[in-house]
Amino acid sequence: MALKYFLWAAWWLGSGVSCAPRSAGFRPFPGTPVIWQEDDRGHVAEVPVRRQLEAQNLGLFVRDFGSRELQRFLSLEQMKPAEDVNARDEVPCSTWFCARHHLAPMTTEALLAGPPGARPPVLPLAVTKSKDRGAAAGFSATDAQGHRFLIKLDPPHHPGLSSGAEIMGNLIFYGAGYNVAGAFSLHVPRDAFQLAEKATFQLSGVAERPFTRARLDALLANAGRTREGEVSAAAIPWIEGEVLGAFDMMGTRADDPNDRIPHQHRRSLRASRLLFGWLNVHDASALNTLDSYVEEDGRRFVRHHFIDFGAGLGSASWRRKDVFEGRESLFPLSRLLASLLTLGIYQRDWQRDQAAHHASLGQLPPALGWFHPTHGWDPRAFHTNRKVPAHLRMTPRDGYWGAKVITSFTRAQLRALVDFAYAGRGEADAVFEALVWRQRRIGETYLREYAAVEAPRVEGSRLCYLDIAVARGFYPAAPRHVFELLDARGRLVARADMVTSQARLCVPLPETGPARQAPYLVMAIRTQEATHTSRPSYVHLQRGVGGRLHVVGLERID
Amino acid sequence: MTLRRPRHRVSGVVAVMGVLGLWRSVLAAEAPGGRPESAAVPGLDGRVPPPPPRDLALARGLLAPLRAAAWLVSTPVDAAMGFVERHELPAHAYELLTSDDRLVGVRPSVRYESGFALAGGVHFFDRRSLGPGSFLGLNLSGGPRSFDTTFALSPPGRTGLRLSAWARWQGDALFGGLTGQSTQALRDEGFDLARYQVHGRGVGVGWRWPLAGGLRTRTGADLHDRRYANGLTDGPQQILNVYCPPGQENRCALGGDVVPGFARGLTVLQGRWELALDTRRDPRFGSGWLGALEGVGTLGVAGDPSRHAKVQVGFGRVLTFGHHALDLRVQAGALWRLGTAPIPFEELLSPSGPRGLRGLRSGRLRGPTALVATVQYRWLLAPWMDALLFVDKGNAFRENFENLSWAQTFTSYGLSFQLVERARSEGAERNVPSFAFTWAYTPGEGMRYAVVSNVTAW
Repeated sequence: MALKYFLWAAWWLGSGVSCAPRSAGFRPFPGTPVIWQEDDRGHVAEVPVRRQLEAQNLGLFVRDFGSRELQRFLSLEQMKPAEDVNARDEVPCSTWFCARHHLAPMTTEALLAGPPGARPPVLPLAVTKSKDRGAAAGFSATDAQGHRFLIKLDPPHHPGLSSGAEIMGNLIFYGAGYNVAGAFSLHVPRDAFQLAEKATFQLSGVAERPFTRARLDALLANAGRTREGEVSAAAIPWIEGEVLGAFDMMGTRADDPNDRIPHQHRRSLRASRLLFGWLNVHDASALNTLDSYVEEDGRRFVRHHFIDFGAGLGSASWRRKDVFEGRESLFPLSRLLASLLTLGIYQRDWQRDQAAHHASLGQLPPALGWFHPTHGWDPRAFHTNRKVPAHLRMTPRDGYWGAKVITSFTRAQLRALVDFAYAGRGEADAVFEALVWRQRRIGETYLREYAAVEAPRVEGSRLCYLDIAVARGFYPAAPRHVFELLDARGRLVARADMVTSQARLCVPLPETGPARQAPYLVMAIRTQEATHTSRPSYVHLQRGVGGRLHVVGLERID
Repeated sequence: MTLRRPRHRVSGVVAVMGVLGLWRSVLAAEAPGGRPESAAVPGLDGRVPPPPPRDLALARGLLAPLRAAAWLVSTPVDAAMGFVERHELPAHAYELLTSDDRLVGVRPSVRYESGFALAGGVHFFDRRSLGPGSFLGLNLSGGPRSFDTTFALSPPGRTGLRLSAWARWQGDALFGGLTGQSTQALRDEGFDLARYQVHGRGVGVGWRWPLAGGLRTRTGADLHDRRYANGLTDGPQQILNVYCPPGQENRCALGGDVVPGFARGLTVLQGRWELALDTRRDPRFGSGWLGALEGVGTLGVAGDPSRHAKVQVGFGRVLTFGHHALDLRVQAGALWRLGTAPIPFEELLSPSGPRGLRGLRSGRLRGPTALVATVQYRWLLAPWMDALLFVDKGNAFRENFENLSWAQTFTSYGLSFQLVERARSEGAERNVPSFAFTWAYTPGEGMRYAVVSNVTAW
């Protein structure tokens, strides 16, 4: 009973006090040059310890679902802004992420080329070692030019299922700005695989044994085949540097002095949830990440990668997706309780699709798997099968940024990427349509959350910017743009609005009155349409030399 | 000089850990993995981060003991799991206990038995020595109240044939009367629930094969030899104390009508045949019909006068709608004496336990006839778990269901959580119930909870 009152009091105090209004005014930007490069490439002389986080399948599951969630709940953790964000509300280039397509649009050819240095294998492939972890079967191999690859075989009867998802994941994540290995579709006859001398495999992942031809044949015999009888697989170039194992989605790496921002507070990791949702990668977690110790310009440091997108789109790596995958975590406590207490009257949306899922067995194209439903998909309802601490802390600002990255891919580019990944197979149409639909839903949900103000600058006596939500077609009718000029303490100085369907907007800055004297001003911009008003984006303006205003910061507040 | 009790030391360690956890909880502004705010260093946007909000400090302080307790509990668990997985101990153990071709190996086994005593053991298997499709297996398991050794052999070629031999001992088997009496009725007769030991051994041959349309059949013959003694339970519930108390030897009839077969034991040859039907395509949420018909003929050997026949029938209908299933089942059985000797008590039908009245332990009810009806509602909680609400009604009765009446029946109400194993291959995308945790209540008999593995239809 005492515990009950204690918890009640804690809750009351927590919820009651937290409703208190925040102090008025803005935190001013200093006006220093915008940081576009995070200083996390300092020389690390000592090789960081290889932590076998990727081996901790169950331990990480228990920690992320149990102790970490309990601590998050009991610490009354509040939404906290991401820390890897600069004065333009962007993520600076770092060893985690380096903005590519959404800031400096890439050509389709550049997107298709993938990470620099990633080249398709040159046959034949000499198999050196079996793949010991993960759901997909495969092995590592060296091509005719001595480059090392991880070969991930497609599941039987589903050529292109896993490899298509793997390639799409790598291309999209690379274009977005993440570090990935790259991937190439491989359709080769069985004899393109030769066994290297001293090839080995790890029995149960721990006991090394010789990799025999019979074992390789058995592996290939159980792989997906094309109509021509060729083995269907994905070839993934080996990540350069010394592999240090997976990175945790929470905390920092103690033996890496460059790792200063807790991973759960990195926007690039938080907003990756939207990219995983877009691509339907339901097994995204720390297990599918990789740190490598690399050398660049004479400095050695740790670089962080996302790997393994084979469980994306309609694939669950070694089979097609089940109906709930991507829509429910492995331990959905609240849903489980709701179902228990209502005797099953409470139904999840995926339960209604079970019959369609069963009926589709054998009906859908083999490489498509279960990438359904396209219509009615809600990006907020996407769930990875594990709890990912960084994803759980994604704020609306992070979501806006993620949507900005995702919607930067044009239809033509997506079409080219899908055609490349699916090698012109019939499934490409369905995947393309689903991706376009999901991209649109993500944009509608997250990009319109804030006024989509980008690249603000003062031109003469006007503040000009690009509204990317309008530019990308998320406001079908001309919206109303509301401008409020505030002083540093948040007091209204001037107000204006305009209705226009133009994406490139300019609003005059007042030349007279109190605004003329104020050294620091903030332009709050909202976008309105009949049923929706966005949250404001704040453009911070500072009076510089000669009394001219210039933009010093762009801020969105959660 | 006095000895310091170890628990004082333990308490000291716990206290220190508690203080550390409390300190950590109060100081940390967020969940573990966060870091204290650095007030002086500007962020990447050039601004100094705002100070951490103090508005929740009080509430956080109140919750600090809970956080500390959670930390105390979870830290060693996380550390232990991390250690085990980092060092790949399960994989090493698996490798150590399994041949490279995976056909020969040894597995540890843990079995729950009554009173939450665990029985541990090993299971040896060899699918290689006798050829493809063959099987050689040896189970050895034991606990404080049981021991079990089973040897099984299947010849190569998937013939469906299996030879087996076993030796078992159970120290606390339950006896609760011969005609389905309630505990109170037993006491009114001057008896009570009683515990006995059973030492059994035997050999058998069985043959099973599937037929068309969800039908399968099984036939076989077994030779059983069992001996009984007082149960391991201390106190008045030992069977000899209940049915043959000192000074009342005149009512001691363990070999006769009261507990037939107890004094002499059992040596019988049994022949059996079973036909089972399950038309469900999906054993989890598939509609269909269930049925079972089993006939067993028993003949005493080596001087055992037993001679009787048993017939059991079961019939069920499963109706599913989405992820809900309504399961209606009726099971009935009858035994007939074919000679003059009474039917040994362990040969009687026992409609209690996981395949009968789930609110009563196995062996609690016995009788020459039995009838159990079950209504259960099952629904999906998660893709890997279902919940079941059930009502079982029935009892064991006298010969030819003489005392069958509504008032004579027991009712078990219960809730069960059933884990589901998903077959990985798409060709056989089946969800198979594998393991259940059950709580069941029988008015007048109390609450029972059980962990049951291998949940199947019949």
